[in-house]
Amino acid sequence: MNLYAFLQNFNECLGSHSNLNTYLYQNAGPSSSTWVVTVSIRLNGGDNTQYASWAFQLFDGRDNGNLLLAEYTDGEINYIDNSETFGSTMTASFADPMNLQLGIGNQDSVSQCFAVLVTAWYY
Amino acid sequence: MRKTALIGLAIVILAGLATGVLTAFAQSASQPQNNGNSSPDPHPGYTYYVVYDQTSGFIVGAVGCPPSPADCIPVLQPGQSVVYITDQPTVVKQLFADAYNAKLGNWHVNPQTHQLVSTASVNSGPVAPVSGISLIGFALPAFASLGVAMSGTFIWRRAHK
Repeated sequence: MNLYAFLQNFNECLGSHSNLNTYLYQNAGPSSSTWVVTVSIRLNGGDNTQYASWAFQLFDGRDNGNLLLAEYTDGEINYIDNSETFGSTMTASFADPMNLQLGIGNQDSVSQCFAVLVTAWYY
Repeated sequence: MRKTALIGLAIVILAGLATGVLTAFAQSASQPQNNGNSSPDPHPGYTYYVVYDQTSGFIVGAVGCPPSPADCIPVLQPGQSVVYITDQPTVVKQLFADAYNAKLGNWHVNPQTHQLVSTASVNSGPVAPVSGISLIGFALPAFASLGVAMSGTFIWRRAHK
């Protein structure tokens, strides 16, 4: 098993009533591998009560990838506490390099930052 | 008599300095605090960018991306654009300090110049330091006190000639 990324910390801050999509990793690692990707997300500053949604998606295929293999998503969540962390581990077999996309939705009337941690292995 | 005047002058200057220091620290303490990260932005090696609406300049989001192997490639919707601010650490510092305090709305991008602008500041652009002892908070009261004291001494000496 090869460690690709260990607890990489991404800062994502969204304006009010905004959606932001980012490829955290694109064309990562070798082809024909199985990936184990652990993700977590929590509020970073701002309100204690927050409407937010997110989706971590693993795509297979070169040039951003378009084949969705695994997903960790949570829809409208109310009253997230600042100390609360949400996370999951996704495992999938890829024909091409791995792509991890994160989409966050901030349904609140004020901006909000999120701290995102990612660890990824492949074999 | 002259000795008394000098002592008085020293007391006034020290009082002015103390007022300046206390004012500066009070201002520093009232600055936005980073509630989530262990250390404030910018983090060494990180890439920073802002996604904004091309028409209105509204900031959709700001991203701080860790070094390789992370990529952090923005997926732009129609009408959106991106401006990278990694080479502007002062901007990064103040923008993310505001963002952590739910005040990203204090910022927008000028659609004509594509420059980030802080609407909370009198000057366009984040030029003021986020923390530290400012010239206004420290030096101004001290110099003002010095001026008052010297004027008083001058008047006293004129009156006793």
